[in-house]
Amino acid sequence: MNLDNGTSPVGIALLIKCIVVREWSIAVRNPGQWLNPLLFFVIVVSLFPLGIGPSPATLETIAPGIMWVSALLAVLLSLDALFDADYADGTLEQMVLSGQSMSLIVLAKVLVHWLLSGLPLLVLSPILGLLLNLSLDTMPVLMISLFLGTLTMSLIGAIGAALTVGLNQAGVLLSLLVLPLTVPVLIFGSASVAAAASDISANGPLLILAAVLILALSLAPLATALALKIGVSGSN
Amino acid sequence: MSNKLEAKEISVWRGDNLLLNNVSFTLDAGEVLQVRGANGSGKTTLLRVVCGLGLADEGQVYWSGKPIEKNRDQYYENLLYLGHKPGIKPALSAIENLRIFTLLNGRAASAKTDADIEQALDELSLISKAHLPCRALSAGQQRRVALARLVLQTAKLWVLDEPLTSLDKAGLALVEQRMAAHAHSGGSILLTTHAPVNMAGVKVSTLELG
Repeated sequence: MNLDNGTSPVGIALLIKCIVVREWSIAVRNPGQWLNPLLFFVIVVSLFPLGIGPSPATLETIAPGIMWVSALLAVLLSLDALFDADYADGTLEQMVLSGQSMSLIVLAKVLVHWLLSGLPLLVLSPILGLLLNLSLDTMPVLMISLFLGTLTMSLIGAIGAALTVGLNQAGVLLSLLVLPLTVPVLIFGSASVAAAASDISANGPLLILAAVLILALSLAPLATALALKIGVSGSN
Repeated sequence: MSNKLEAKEISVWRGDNLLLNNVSFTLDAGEVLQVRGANGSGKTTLLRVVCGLGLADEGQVYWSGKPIEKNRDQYYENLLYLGHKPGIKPALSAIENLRIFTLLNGRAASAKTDADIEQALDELSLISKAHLPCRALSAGQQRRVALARLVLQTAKLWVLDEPLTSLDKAGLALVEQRMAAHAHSGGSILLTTHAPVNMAGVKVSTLELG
């Protein structure tokens, strides 16, 4: 089956720009959609010191894990909304029928999703890191690893969101589908921060994260596009 | 063979229920075909199969003599599908909503500008509401926004699922006039509707389902 419906008649850059602008305008007018996961991230991370106790040594040991698990769950929380609204109001059908490359449309949508879910996490992470007694030297590694990791999770999550499109209460199923695939990201992500916190070079895990990102970037939009086409034709 | 839509012996099963049984029709350039039938007789299913959105258990749809799945680019370039769910985002204004459609279905040669969109909205008496978010519009007005695509897009084949729902008399007349003009200029229309369709000078064939 043909994944990409051949050459796109309108310029690729124009198509991506238009979809990014559109998704952005929708998101700005529905702030709950992207604020909720962000608040979730802040709340979860700030509850750990209260629950475990404020001993700096303990916090420093568990900080990389806490940051990463919370980020993973926050991204997961935001995935539900990725295609559901488009499915419900018929936009998805129109996108499939447009003859434009579905993978490109998906890529543009995921990009906006990351700008609204991953990027704010990235920006907040140094402040929350300080709360968990991470040293300032580890912040660059924390941010780089979260940049690579959250983008990968948005891409992988899009496959899960596309596979569960149109199903009611798909949240748990989505988690079951997506979480196993994101485990490597979690492992290498927190490993890179842990390495930086104990003054070891974090290059190894970061490079692996980058490799996973490139893999996801090249394959996830194709898989997502195919899953969306199946989801749309299965409906009704 | 050009611009001819053909459905041959389409059958669709829904569980144990044979929803569409050997449905065949041809639709040439300039023709209008109205699909009729009771609720649940498979009208929407047939239209979705014709668009390639639904899968038929048996049978095949042809455009210009070629099966549509082998001819997707050419087919989708010529197809305008307006379903029950019109693809209108409540958070966006009419203009913002239509912008994506002109781009998605547009071809570089016939690129539409915001001025074209405003002109289309004017034709549908929506120009004063062009910048309001669509959630502030009534059902009929939202339908009009979706129908503005009929003015904006240049597709040869229109597949319209209940295009006349929630429209007032003036809107009804406007859409019928648009459809007649489309047929006169060599376009073809496949539509479902319960109301009789009056189009000046256009012969409307009917297909009874169920």
